[in-house]
Amino acid sequence: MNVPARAVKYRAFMPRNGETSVFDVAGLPVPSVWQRGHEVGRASGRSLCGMGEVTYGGVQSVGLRVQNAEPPPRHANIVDWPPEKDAQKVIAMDLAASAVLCLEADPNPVSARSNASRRPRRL
Amino acid sequence: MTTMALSSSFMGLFPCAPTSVQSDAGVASERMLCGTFTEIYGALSLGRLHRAICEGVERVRAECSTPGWDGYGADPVQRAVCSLAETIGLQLPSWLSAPEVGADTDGDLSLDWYSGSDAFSLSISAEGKLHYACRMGQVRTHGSEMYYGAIPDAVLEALLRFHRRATRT
Repeated sequence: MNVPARAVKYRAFMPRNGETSVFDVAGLPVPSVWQRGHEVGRASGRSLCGMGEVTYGGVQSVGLRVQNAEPPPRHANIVDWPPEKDAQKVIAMDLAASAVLCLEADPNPVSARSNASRRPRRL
Repeated sequence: MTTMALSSSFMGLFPCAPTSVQSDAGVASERMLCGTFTEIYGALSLGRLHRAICEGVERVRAECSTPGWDGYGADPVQRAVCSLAETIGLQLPSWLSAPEVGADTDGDLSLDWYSGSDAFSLSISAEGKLHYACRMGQVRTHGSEMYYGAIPDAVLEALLRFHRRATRT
């Protein structure tokens, strides 16, 4: 039994009021992605630990949908969550399992990976 | 680590199966010794898991007992749910690995176990509602049960299945 040190936890995707807040950062330069993340963190009195990257396809494959929710620019919500908390958790676990953890000091940052698909990201 | 060392030396020094050359009194006293050491071993093992849960609960309570602790209006973690989580922690099998204790935004406490990309989560509400969710390879199990003084069978069975698989991999 091991706790993965570098993995996205399901908790990051758990919805609040039926929505999980994400940002679409496809095509953005990496420094501005982190800058946006730090701004969001500061606004809520928290510090940014990392980001979990999921694809639109990954969201759809677990029966959810990404809904545009601007402003702020590029903001979106993952919606269509079931109302039951236990069902939400198991879906969040699937999302977390498909997510890629991005850390600020990562030598292989996000932008180096594919920008071909638009990727909502949980900040 | 300490408890594991105690376990092996205990079994070597005090074999539980009585031998034919022992008197009835000898057998009885040996059984008593076995029972005593089993209780001590159980208490030590239980202590390890329970201590880890209590420490996690205390940390979460310190960080998440004010409204909006997450910066987005999360409900505070109440003392009642902390006590309940510690009680449930006492009733978990002592050999389980220690869970990660976390707060949910609705004020529930969660005990989470991870194994690679698999996970088991048990949420505990102040009212005694337990939400459990398990991702184990291709298998998904989830449900809700009420806590009436003992961990419901469905929750325990799912948790034990998760641990058996996790310890095999």
